[in-house]
Amino acid sequence: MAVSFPVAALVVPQEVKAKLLAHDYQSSADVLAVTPVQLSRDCAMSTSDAQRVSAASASASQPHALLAGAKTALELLDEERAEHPIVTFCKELDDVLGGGIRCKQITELCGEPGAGKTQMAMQLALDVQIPVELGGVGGQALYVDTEGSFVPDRVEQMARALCTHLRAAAAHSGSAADLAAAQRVSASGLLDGIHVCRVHSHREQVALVRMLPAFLAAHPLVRLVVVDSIAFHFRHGFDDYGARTRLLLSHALALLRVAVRHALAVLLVNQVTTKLAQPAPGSTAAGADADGGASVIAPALGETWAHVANTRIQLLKARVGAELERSALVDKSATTPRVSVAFQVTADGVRSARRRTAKRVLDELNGGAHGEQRVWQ
Amino acid sequence: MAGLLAHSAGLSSEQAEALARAGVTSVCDALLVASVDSTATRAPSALGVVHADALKRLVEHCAPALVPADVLWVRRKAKACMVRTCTELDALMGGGVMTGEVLELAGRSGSGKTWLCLATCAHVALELRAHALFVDTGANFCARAFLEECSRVARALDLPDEQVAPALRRVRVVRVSDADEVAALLEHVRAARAAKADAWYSRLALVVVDSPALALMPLLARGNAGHAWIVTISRALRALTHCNLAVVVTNHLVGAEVALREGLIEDSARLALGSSWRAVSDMRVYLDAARPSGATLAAAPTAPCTAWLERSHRSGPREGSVRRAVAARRAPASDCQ
Repeated sequence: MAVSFPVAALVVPQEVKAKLLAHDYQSSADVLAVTPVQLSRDCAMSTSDAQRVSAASASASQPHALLAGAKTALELLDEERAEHPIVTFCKELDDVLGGGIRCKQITELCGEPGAGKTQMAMQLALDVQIPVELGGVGGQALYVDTEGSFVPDRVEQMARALCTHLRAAAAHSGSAADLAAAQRVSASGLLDGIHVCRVHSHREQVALVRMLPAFLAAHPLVRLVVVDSIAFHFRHGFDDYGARTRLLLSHALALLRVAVRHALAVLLVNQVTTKLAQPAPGSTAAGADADGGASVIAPALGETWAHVANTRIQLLKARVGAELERSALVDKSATTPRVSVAFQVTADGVRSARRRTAKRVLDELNGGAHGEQRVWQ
Repeated sequence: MAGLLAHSAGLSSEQAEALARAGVTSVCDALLVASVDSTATRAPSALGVVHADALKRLVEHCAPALVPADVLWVRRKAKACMVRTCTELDALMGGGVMTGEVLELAGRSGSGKTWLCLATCAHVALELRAHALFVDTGANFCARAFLEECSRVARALDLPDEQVAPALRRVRVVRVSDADEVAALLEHVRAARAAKADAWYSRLALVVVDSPALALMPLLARGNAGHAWIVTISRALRALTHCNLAVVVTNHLVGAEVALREGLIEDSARLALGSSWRAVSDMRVYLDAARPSGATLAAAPTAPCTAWLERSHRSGPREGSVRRAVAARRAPASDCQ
C-alpha cells in the first residue's frame, strides 16, 4: 500500500522542506511523480538534495516497519512473564517490584550519600550473575563508575557471601543440577562478570553510551548496565541548563533504546537535592521551617529528567535510637502504588530488614541459615 | 510551476508554460493574481485574456469542497462514540473523551499519566471491543500493569474473566525513540485508516502517544528544527481526529516545586511542550499525585490522584464544569501488601 506522506513529515532538512512546499510539492506522491533531476530543476535545489528527498519519499511510502512490528499487549505480557527480573536480595522490595529490577526499562535509584545506593548497585551487579538453574538471569554487568565509588574489595566480600548463599540454597533444594550450577559459581568468577568503566567527564559518559551497542555485541551476556551516578558529571560545569537537560535526555533515551533492543536492565543511580517548597494549604507539612517552607528531598537533575525513569526507588535512612533503619520507597512504578519497605546492608550485602519473629529468633539461636532460600524466585 | 499540479488541474503544458512566462511560477502566485470573482471571464489585465481559463481551473482545483453543517452533524452523530478513562475523570469530562477529540494528560513524573492511558486502552478493548494503538516513546507500557487494569475494568463492567485475554489482543504497542519515527508512524496510521484495506485499522478507536515530549525534548536545542517537529506531530495528531479516532497524549509538567493547586496551575508549573503544542488538545487534564511533603516517609500504600480539567473552546457541550478537581484513585496493585 503506497502512502501519500505530507512533506512536513519527511526526514529531510527544514530548508529543503521549505523549498518543496514553495514549489507545490506537498506530498511524497508529488515527489515520486517526477525524477530527481526534474525535482532539482523545479525547486532550485542541488541534485544530491533532490535525491535525498526522493529516497526519503520512497521509504516513507512503504508500509512502516515499526507499525508492522507492533506487538499486541498479550504478546508483550508473554514476553514480560518470560523475563527474569534481577533480584535485590531484599525480599520485600523484590515483591513490591514484581520480582526485582526489570529488563527493558530504566530504574532510577536515588538517595542521600550513605543511603546505600552504591551497595544496592553492586549487589545487583552480582545478582544478575545468579545462574539460570537457580532462578537467576545468568548474565553479566557493565558498571559505569563516575564517582570512583566502586570498591572491588567490598564487591569481593559480597561475592563470597553470594557464593555461600547459593550453595546453601542448592543444598537445600537437593537437585543435582542446582548443586552443579552452584558449584560453578565462584567469587572470582563473579568479579570477572562485572565490567567496570571509570568515567571522568560528561563527554566520556555520553560517548560511552553511544558505543554501547558495539560493547554489547562483544559481550552478549551483559544483562545489567549500572551508571553510578548519572548526575555526578552533569551537576556542574554547565552554563546553560537547557543544554544540559537536552544532553541528559538524549543520553537517557540512548540508554533506553539499548535497554529495549538488548533486553537488559538499566540502573541509574542519582543524587538528591533538598528543595524548599511552599506547603500546600491544609496539608501538614512535616519538617516545616520557621518561615513556613518545608524542605523536600527530590532527585537531582530536575523535573524534566524525572520523567525518564520507568521505576524510581528512593533509598532513605533514619536513626532510630542506636539503630540505623534503612528503607526503600518505590516512588514511581507501573505496577505498584507508592510503597515503602525496610532493608538493611549487612557484611554480606543488601538483605531484608531483620524482623525478630519467633521463628527468626529460633533460627538465630540454632545458628542456622536465615531461611532466605526462596529469595531469588 | 510544478508540472504535476498544472496537469492534475487539467491545464495543458502550453497553458502552464504561458503562465510561467508571465511570472506565475507557483500556485500561490496564481492565487495572488487570479481574479477575486471566480465567475469572471476576464483575467487581470496584467496577464491578458488567454490565461483566464487556466487561472480559473487552478483556483477551482485548489478550493476545498463545501459540506453542509447538518451533514457533518449527522455523520458525527452516527460515528462518534465515547471512550471512557476512569470513573472520576469521566465525571469531570462529562462522560469521557469522544472519538474525534484529543485529550492531553499533563502531570509530573509519577502522577499517573501512563496509568490513565492504560485505563483508557482497557475501556476501549473491553467496553467498545474496539482496537487501540499505544505509541510508546519511553518504554512506559507495562503489560502486567495493563493486565491488572483490564481485570479491574472487566470486574467493574461485570464482564467474565475470559474477556480479558481477547482484550489484550485488541491493543497494539509500538515502541519508538525519535520524533521523526513518531510523525511517520502517525501518518501511516492515518493512511491505513483512510485506505480501509486493513480490518485492524477499521476497528481502531483510540491512539495513545506516551509521551511526545520525551522524543521531542532533545531536539528543542536545534532551534527551528525542534519546533518544526512539534508542529508536524501536532498536525499529524489532529489529522487522526478527522478519521474519527480518539487521541490521548501525555505532556510533562515541569517547573517550580510548588504543589499544584487550583488557580495556581499557570503560576507554579509549565508544560514541557509549550505554546506551539497547546493547540493540539481539545481537553487538557492536569494530574497531581498527592505526595507526602517533607522528608518523613510514612508508608503511603495507595496514591490518590487529583485532576483538574482545562477545556478548550473546541470541545462540544457536555455536562461538568470547566476546571473542576476530582480525586481519581489509582487502584492498589493486588500483589502489594
